[in-house]
Amino acid sequence: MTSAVRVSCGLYKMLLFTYPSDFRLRFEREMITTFSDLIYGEWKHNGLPGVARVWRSAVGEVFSVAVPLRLRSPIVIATSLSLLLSIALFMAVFHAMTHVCNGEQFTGSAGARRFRISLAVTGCQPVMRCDPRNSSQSHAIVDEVRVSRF
Amino acid sequence: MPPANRVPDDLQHLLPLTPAVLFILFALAEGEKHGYAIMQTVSRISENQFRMGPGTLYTTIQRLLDLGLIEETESAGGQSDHENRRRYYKLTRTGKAVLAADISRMESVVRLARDKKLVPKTSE
Repeated sequence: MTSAVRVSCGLYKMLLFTYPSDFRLRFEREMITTFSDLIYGEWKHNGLPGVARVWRSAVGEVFSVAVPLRLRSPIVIATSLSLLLSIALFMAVFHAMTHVCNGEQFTGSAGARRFRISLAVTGCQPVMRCDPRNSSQSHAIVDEVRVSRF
Repeated sequence: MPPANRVPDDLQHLLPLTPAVLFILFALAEGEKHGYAIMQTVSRISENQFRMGPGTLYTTIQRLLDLGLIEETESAGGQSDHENRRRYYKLTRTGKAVLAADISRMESVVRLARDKKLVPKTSE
């Protein structure tokens, strides 16, 4: 059991990295000591289910205690918000691109000229065609903007 | 000098106490204890209804130390390295006053509930 307690404490020490560094500096050694006492006591009185319960509680505290403690820091708040916004922006662009690659038609005008553009992302590529009716013109004039998979 | 059981105004917002704070103060009311002993006492006095892990325990202890409700004692651990790593905590006078105020608050709630016959009267 001693080696199992040692392994548990090693793993728990790694789990403590989820707590803020100032908190860890102050309580890490004590927390590991208390955790090893808990594991040893539970093993002695309740066996494996008791040890599993201690671990479940320790992992649960990462979300209920460590993460909220981390989120008190302004730097972490700014970083988290920035990350969330980046993910949201990426998802929005990805969503739009998916629609584009599915061959949805887009219509638009730019002054006198209107272009048909086929755009592809990974497996698609942009295509511009001149309208056959206006092929004699020096610039391409098309009726709509269309994107299709290449 | 303020009365011994008077809760300072800046600590009134702590009342009612959260379960973790209440049980830790309750456990330390018996005398100075280290973290694991606090957890065992909490488990015993709550009849295993309230359990907390080291994360909850030490974040609450940190808060109580910062508020001056408990303090670390000078107690030396023991012979082993394991014992030396332990720190012992005890209630301060303010901590005792806050605990007494919360118990008193609960007592009046129970009295009111009994008066309104919401709970059965127990033989005393």
